[in-house]
Amino acid sequence: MGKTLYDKVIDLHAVEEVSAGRVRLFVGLHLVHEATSAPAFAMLKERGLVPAHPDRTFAVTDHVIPTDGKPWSDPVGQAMEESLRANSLGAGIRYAGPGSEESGVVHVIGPELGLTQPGMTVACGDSHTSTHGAFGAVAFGVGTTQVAEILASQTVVVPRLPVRQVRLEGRLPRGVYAKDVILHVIHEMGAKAGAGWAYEFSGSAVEQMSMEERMTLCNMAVEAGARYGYVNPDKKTIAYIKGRRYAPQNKEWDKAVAFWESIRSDSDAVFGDVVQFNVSNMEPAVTWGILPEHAVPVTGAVPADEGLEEARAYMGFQAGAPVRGTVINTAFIGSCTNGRISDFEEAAKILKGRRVAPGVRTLAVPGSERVLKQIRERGLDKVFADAGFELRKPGCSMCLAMNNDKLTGTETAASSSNRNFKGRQGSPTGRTLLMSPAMVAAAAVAGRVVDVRGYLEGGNNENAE
Amino acid sequence: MKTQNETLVQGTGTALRGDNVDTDRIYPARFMKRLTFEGIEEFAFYDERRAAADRGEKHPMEGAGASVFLFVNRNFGCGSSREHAPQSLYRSGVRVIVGESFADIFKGNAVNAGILCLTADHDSVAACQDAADQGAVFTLDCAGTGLTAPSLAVRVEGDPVLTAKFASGALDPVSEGVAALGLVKRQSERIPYLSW
Repeated sequence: MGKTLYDKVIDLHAVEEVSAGRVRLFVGLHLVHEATSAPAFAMLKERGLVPAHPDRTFAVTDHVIPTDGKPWSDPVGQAMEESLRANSLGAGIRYAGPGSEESGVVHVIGPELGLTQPGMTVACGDSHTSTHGAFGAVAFGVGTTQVAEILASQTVVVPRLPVRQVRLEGRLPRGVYAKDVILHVIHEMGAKAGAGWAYEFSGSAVEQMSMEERMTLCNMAVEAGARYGYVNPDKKTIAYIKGRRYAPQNKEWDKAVAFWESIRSDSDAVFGDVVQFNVSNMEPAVTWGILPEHAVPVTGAVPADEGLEEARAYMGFQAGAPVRGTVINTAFIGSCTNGRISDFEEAAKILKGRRVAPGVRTLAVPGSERVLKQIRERGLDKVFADAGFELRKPGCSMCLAMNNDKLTGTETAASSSNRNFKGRQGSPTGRTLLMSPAMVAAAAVAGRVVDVRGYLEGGNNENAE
Repeated sequence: MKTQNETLVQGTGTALRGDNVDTDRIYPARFMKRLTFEGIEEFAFYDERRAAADRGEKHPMEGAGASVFLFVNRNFGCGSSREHAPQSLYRSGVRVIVGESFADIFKGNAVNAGILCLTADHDSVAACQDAADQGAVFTLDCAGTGLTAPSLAVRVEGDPVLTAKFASGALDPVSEGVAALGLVKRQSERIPYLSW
């Protein structure tokens, strides 16, 4: 009987079965960031332990980092960065300091540097570690004690899960992106459907997606309840990795490619469940509520269901209100979901020749120093500047507002990030509308939620309202 | 917590009603700006408690310090992997959470933070929530499968291995990992990419 990629990778990395259904897994790549690691390093120090595999570890500061290009004005944030720097250097762990060319949001730099590879187990103290699954890795978020467990032993104990295949078939229409697809999937299946499952995303639509689009998809698997979300590696995966800083080279490159091809799910693999979606008729999506599953097509309306009163009340929506026309005060393009060069390319297409509406605060936060460099090399910085959309330095920024990029009061943000929970973007009463980067750009220009399809080349803005 | 041979945990409970209670509610991100877990109990449900107070209400977790049980509905702990979420609950006194369902990452973190997560059906949870509101004292048996209170007896489910670990207090993933280092070395020799 054939195996799924998940099964093959778990089998390869399982050090021992600690109890029924729970395995101790070797962690091929341990990514570390400052928001969840300080107590973990302290746990090791207390016991006189040192990291077992600094060579399989890479650290970066991303959550608290300022994006305004100014020196630290946040003593605690600064202390967290210094702590991670000292802990990393003391243990021989590679650390990409703020502003260094390898630095950025952890789930953006891992793939950029060629650290993330098919067939690996990847762990990090952050739930969006699922992002790396786009490369055919078994990638998952862990808590601080598990970060300590991994530092001390390069292993972590996790349950072995069944795999649900999520088939995405058809062709993405214009103006509809991976972000819209995953929001639609989460809405259809619900935020807890993936609990107890690993998700394999496959199908013709996934095959047509770029690596960056696949990362957007896998990034939000966790919002569907699935701790793991992956895509089988293919020619695109191999082409993406080739030549990157930490990618294998020469003879080892050929061995690597052979290994990567071997870990794909077998054609006769048996899945615990299979679901299918057709993307051909999907529309741009917008979340209106306080859970990622509260998504509707941009042409849709806030649902009237009982049980959604709290969400409607918090967001200030009447049941049945159209989402189009919702006024926004802030537009944020960035995050580990949509902070890569293709995201800024799509946003730039919408901003070109247009101006941000008066009164809209804008933040375009590249996912890494490398993405920022690419933005400049391609002249996108000029497009953003001409539109009045503020380009900033890399970091997690307003996705979760652990730095100074926050909403105030009931300000409403059009955001390319991954969560719209109450208080997510720094104000306990702030409102988040999740959407694709192109949709954020269009909303910034209009000052309200609009249908981005009316802003694409060949469209006129009137159709968008 | 162990008061008699036949009980695992005994004490009062808090009812936290509603599905999808996410980790940003349980522990807002801005309070992760610290280097240790010391004192973080102060921030559990911080914004929710303040919002309730502003409405002239008392949030269930306000002053719930003495309660060892927490009764929740579906998808509790969805969202982030922040261990601050279960840690702040543990440091607030919570030892057992009985819910309809839990998010995977939260459930894994809770055991490391010293909290046992058990599941029960909707009606059982609702009955426990009502009893908790009345100040009932709950008793969880040694097997971690039977929860009783005056006029109440419900079946709860969990992972027997985790329940046993919780019962013995032997929750030490770091030491267990270090103890496995010999096996780790052997297994790692079979992983192709480690030699590139």
